[in-house]
Amino acid sequence: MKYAYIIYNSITFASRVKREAARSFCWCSMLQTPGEISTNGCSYSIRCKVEDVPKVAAVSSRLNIQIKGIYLSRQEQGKVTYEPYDLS
Amino acid sequence: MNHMIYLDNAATSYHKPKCVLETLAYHTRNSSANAGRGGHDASVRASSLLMEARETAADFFGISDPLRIVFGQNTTMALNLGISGLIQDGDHVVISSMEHNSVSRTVAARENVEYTVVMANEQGYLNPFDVDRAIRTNTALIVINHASNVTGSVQDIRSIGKIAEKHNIPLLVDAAQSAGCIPIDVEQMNISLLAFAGHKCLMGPLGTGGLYVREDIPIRPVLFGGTGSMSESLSMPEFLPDALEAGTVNAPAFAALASGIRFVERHQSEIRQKETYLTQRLLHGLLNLDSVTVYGSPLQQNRVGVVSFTIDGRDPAECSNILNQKNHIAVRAGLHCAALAHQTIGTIQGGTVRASVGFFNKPSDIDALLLAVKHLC
Ligand SMILES: Cc1ncc(COP(=O)(O)O)c(C=O)c1O
Repeated sequence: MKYAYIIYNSITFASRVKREAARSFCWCSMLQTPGEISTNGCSYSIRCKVEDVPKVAAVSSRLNIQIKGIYLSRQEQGKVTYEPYDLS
Repeated sequence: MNHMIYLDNAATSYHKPKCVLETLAYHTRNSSANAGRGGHDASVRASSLLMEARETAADFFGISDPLRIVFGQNTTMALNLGISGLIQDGDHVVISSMEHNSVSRTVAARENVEYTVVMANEQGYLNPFDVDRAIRTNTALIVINHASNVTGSVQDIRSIGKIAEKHNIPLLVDAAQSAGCIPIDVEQMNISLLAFAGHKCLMGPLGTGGLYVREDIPIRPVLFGGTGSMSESLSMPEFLPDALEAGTVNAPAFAALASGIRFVERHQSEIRQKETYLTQRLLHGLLNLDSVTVYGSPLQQNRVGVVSFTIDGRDPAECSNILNQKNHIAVRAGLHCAALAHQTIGTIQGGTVRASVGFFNKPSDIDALLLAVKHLC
């Protein structure tokens, strides 16, 4: 299963986006950013379905909340790998 | 304690709505993880509670971005964050003569900052033009008490907001006694910073308060520490709320505050009506007693349910002790942490007795106080 990780500077930003996204029926979870893709200590991410990335990005931009990075995760033989996601 | 008549709502609202108590108990039991300090479900849940509380407070005050609300322990903390985070050496600050010590001491503590105290009249009302006249070229901040905790007088924040806007100077409003009693819309009133108590008219638990900071206000951190964000840096994050919100925040208490705000929103007109009625009843009764002097406006307009009075020949502290011991009525005597306000109304020697009504008071509480005061006369 592929997931997208949308990274924010703080849990406050992530939780604001998550709650706002849920208002337009886009359900995501929130978790500490995995070290491999974390841009700084204690950053938090929204994890969502890949097709929901544009929606979450639009919500972030509407709320003026900066996205620090977007990655797609892939699990193969028990190992998770990440690749950058290009929004444009 | 059941038979106590509580008329000290200006200090804190002792009786809380059931929904506030239940929310506090529920989340203390079930959501007491540290918000923003972990990715586990319990921490994430606590963070969501805080965000919900920020959204609720933002809606209530007409704030479009909930992230501009910083949570803290009380109004004092919020005022300190706002004042100390904004002013710098060489600045000038305008305050009013109705300020609480949480403003006047914070400003006076800065050695290289000058300040002007704009005098209110003896009923506790400011003339907004006097605020305009006090502004200098180096004025960096105007701090105004919205509703006095001594006289109950409510200032014309809308007009003062226009003056602040004209001079492009941030306006910090101390809404300790007004938030929850008087409608506040930060955009319409041109408020740049709003310090509010969660534990008074908003009916939240003790230890809750907050500061709204408008987007264009460049504020520096006053407290330093962990925020759960940008931890690799030795500097505080530059974004709000993290920049001003160092240390663990009491998520269950703020969830309960959100409940309190929703309660106030649901019952807004009922609350206003009841408090107005009780205040009128109290004012009317006190004004009919010959040896009682009532301070502030005798009328109901532009005031909240805070009533200060003295009894001829009686020390206010003695009166409040008797009311407490003999009549089990809780009022507060003295200077109410607002010496400037008492200087303004001429009661700096000994202060006043202050009775402050709340939504959960009954007319019989007022009548009991009036009868007890009559016996003291
Ligand atoms: C006008 C005013 N400002 C500030 C404060 C300080 O509030 P807190 O007790 O929430 O720190 C009070 C407290 O009564 C007050 O009445």
